[in-house]
Amino acid sequence: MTRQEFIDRLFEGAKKAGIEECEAYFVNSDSFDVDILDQNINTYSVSESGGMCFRGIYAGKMGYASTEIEDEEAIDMLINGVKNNASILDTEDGESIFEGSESYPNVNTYDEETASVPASEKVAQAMELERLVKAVSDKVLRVDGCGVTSGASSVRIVNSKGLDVSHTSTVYGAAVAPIVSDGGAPSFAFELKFSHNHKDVDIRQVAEAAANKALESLGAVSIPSGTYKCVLRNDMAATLLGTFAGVFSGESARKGMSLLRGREGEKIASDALTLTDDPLYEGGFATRPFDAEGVACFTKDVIKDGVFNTLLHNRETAAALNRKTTANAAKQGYAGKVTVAPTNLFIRPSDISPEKLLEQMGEGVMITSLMGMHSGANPISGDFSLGAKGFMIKDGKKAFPIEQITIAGNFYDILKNIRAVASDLKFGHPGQSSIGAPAVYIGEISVAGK
Amino acid sequence: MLNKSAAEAALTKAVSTGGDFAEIFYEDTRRSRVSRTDDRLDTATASRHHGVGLRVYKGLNSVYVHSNDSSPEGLMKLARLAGEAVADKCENNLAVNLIGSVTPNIHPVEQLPMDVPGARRARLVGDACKAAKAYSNEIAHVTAAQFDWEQHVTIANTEGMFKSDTRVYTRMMIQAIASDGTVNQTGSAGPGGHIGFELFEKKIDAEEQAREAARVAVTMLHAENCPAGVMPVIIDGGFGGVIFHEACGHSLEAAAVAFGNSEFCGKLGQRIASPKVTAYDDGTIPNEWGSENIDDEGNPTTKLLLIENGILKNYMIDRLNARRMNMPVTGSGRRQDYTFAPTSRMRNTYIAAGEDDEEEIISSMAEGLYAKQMGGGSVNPLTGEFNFAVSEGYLIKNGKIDRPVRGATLIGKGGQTIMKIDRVGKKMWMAQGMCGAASGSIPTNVGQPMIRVTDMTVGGRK
Repeated sequence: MTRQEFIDRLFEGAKKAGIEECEAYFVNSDSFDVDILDQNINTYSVSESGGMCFRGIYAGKMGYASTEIEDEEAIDMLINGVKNNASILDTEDGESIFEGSESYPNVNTYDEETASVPASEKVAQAMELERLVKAVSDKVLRVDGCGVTSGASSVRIVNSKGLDVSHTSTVYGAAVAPIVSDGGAPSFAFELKFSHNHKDVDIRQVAEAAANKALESLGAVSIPSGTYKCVLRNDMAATLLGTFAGVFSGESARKGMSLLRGREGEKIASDALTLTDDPLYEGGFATRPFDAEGVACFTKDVIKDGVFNTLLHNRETAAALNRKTTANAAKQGYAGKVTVAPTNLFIRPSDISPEKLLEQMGEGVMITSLMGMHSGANPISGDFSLGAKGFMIKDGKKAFPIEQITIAGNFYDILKNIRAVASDLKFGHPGQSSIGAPAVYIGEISVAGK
Repeated sequence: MLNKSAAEAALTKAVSTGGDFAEIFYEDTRRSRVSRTDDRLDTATASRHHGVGLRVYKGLNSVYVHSNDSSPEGLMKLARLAGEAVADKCENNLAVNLIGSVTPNIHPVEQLPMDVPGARRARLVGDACKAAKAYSNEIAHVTAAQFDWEQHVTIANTEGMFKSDTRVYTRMMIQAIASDGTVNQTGSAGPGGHIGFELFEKKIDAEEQAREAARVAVTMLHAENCPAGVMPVIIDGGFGGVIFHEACGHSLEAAAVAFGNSEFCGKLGQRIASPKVTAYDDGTIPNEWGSENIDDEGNPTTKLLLIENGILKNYMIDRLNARRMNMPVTGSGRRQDYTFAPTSRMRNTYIAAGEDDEEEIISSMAEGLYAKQMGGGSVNPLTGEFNFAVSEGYLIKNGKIDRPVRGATLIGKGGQTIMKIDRVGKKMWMAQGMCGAASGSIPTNVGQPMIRVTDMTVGGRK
C-alpha cells in the first residue's frame, strides 16, 4: 500500500466510523553514526525509521493512536484507538484540527550534499577527529566516544480540513570526549558541533576545544562551602535555561506547574535579560516553517528587557488561557499528544566579551560543567542543587580548576539576579541543541564544597 | 512474527563479507497510556512499535542497523547494509541453521493491560488524583498517569539461537504539587512491575501511593532550605538505593570496565567497599520491574553477586564486551528497543540487608542529614563522580529527627563513598526507576536497607 493509499483509506474509514475531523502526522528519518576507538570502528549504526500518529475528533474529543507499520491492520488499530481513547477523555474544550495558515515562511534546513556524504568519508573524518584530539597533547590518553553522525528527517501533516504541509531537514555532526591525565586522576570533557550543513562542522575546532576543556580542568580541587559570585559559561547557561525552559510553557502554566501563569507584562527578570524563541533562526537546530499543528512559525521575545512578554502556546493551551497560539505546538518524535516546546530559545547576547564579564565579577566561580539536571533541578518549583565543576576566578582571571562542589539556587531568583550577559552566544549542548546562551553573570550563589 | 527461514537467509548474508557473528532482534510492542491532571483526563494514547535491528561483529568491531521493515526483503536490505560496513576481501560461507526454543516465563501475567478497558484505567488515575488532593488543601495540583507496554521479541543469531519472549510492564506515576502561591514543592511515587494490570489489585494501593506523594509535597512546602557542607548522611531504603546504582553500579558495567573507563577496572577480588556492603544485580526476581526471562541478546537472566562483604566479585557483562574482556556474559545485555544495540546494563540492583538496627543508626548520629526519599541521579563512571537529589530530607540533631529540609543534593566519588558506609540496616526494599544510558532507557529497580555514610558533601542553599 502506498502512503497516499494508506492516507485515503484511513481518512475514509475514520469518517465511516464517526470520526468528524482527523489528522495524520508522519515522521520519517534516516541516520548514520560511527564511533572510533584507537583508529578502529568501534560502533557503526545505520537506520531508516518512521512512524505516524493519527488523531481525530470523536464525540467532541480528540483521540490519538500511532503506529510504525502502515498496513491494513494498522488502519483498524488507529481508528479503534482514536475512538477508544477519545471516549475516556474528560476534556471537550481544547484540541481542534487546523485548516492551515495563509502562508508559511521559507527556512533553509536541508542540504542535498550533506545528505549524500558517503559513509567512507564519514568514517575517515571520525578517524581524523581521533588523531586530531590526541595530537593536541601527550596528556590525551584516549577517547571515550569519538564519532560522526548524520541524518535526514521529514515531517508531513495531512488533515481532513485540507492541510497538507511537509518539511525536511538534514543534520551533520561530530563529537569527541577525550580522557586526559598528567599522571594523577583523569579528567574528561566533551565537545560537539552540529549543523544542517556538513561544511559548517570543523573537526579540528571540535578536537581542540574538547582537549583544551579536559586539560584545563586537570588537578581540580574542591573549595570551602559558602556564597560566591558566579558566572555560568555560555554552554552551562544554556544548560540551565534548557532545564527550566518548561516554566515558559503554556501547557505547564495551564496545569498550574509554572509560576508564570497570568503574569504577562510583569517585570520578572533583570533588565539585562531578553529571551527569544526564534523558529526562523538561520542554521538553528529547531528551525522550521510550521509547528506540530501546522501553524506557521514566527519569532517572539518571551522576556524583553526583563519584562515577561508571553508564554509559549499551542492552539489548545492558548485557547484555554485566552491567548493566541505562538506556534510552539510540538511532538516528541511522532507518537503521543501535541504538547508545547520552545524552538530555538536563546538569551540575546550583549557586546561585553566573556573576558570582560569575568573582570566585572572580579572574584568568584565560573561554572563549566553541571551534573544531575534530571534529578537535582525541579522545573516546577524552580529549585536546583547541582553537581558542578569550573574555575575559581580571582582578579577577573582563572586562578585554578575546581570540582566536587554543588551550586544551589532557584531559577526564578536567578532571572532577577542576572548582573550581565556576555557576547558569546552558543547553541548546541547535547540533547538541547536548540537552546542557546552567552556567558551569564548571575550574581551570588550558594556553593557546597569541602 | 520473524520468519525463521528469512532470518536464516539474512544472517547468512550479514556475515558473508567477513563478519564472525550476526544477530537479529525483532520487536513488536504495543503501548498505552492515560494521564490525568486534577479533574481532567487529558491524555489517552495507544501506539504500536515495530521493527528489527541487525548487528554484525567482526572481532571487536560492531555494526548495527535497524528499520521498521521486518519483511524478508527488509531483512535482506539490513543484512546487505551491515555486510557492506564490515566488508573486506574475505568471503564467508557460513550456513546458519536456527533451532527454535521456548523461553520459560518466570513472570506470570494475569491481566494483559492492553485488554483492560479504558474506563478502568481512567478510574484508577481518577481515584489517585482525588486521594492526593484530599490529603491536604495545600495540594494545588496532582498528575497521575498509568502506562504499560507489551513487548514481543524474537532473537536469532548465527550460533543457531531462535528465541522469543514476551515482556509485560505496568506502571503508574503520581506527582503531587503543594503550593502556597509563591512556592511550589513536589512529591512523587512511581510503582511498577514486570507484571500485568493485577499490579493494582494485588500488589499496590494506588490511593495510598498518591497520599504518600502528597505527604512529601506538603512536608517539603514547610521545609527550610538545606544547609550546605560536609556531614554524615543516612539514606533510607527503597529508592535510596539509587546511591549504589549511581555511585557504583554504572562503574561495574562492562560498557565502562571493558574500555578502562571505570575506577573499578582490574579490582576483581579486591576490597572496593566497606565490609558491611554486599550487593547484587538480580534479574530473576519474579515480577520485579527490572527482571527478565532472557536478556536482549537471548541469554538467560541471572542473579549476579557484585560485591560480597566489600570484595568485588563480578562485573555485569554483555556479549560484545565479553569478547573485549575475555570473560563470560552475565545475561546483562539490555536495550530500550530495536533502535538500540544492546550493552551491559543493570536489572534489580541492591545492597543486601545487613545487621544494623535502624533506630540505632539514627540515634547514634549527633548531627547530619537523613535522606528519607531520593530523586534520581547521574554518574561519570570514569571518575566515579556522582550526584543525586534528596526529595525528602530531614536534619538530625542529637540522634533525633529535627526538621525537614529541601533542595539537598548529594555529591561524591563512588569508590570513596561506598568505603565510608558504616551502617547497613536490616530491612531491604526496592523501588522502580528508568535508567538511561547508551542503549536507551530501560526499567531498573534500585534498592537497599537504610544505610549511613560517615561523610558526604551536601549541596544546599543555606
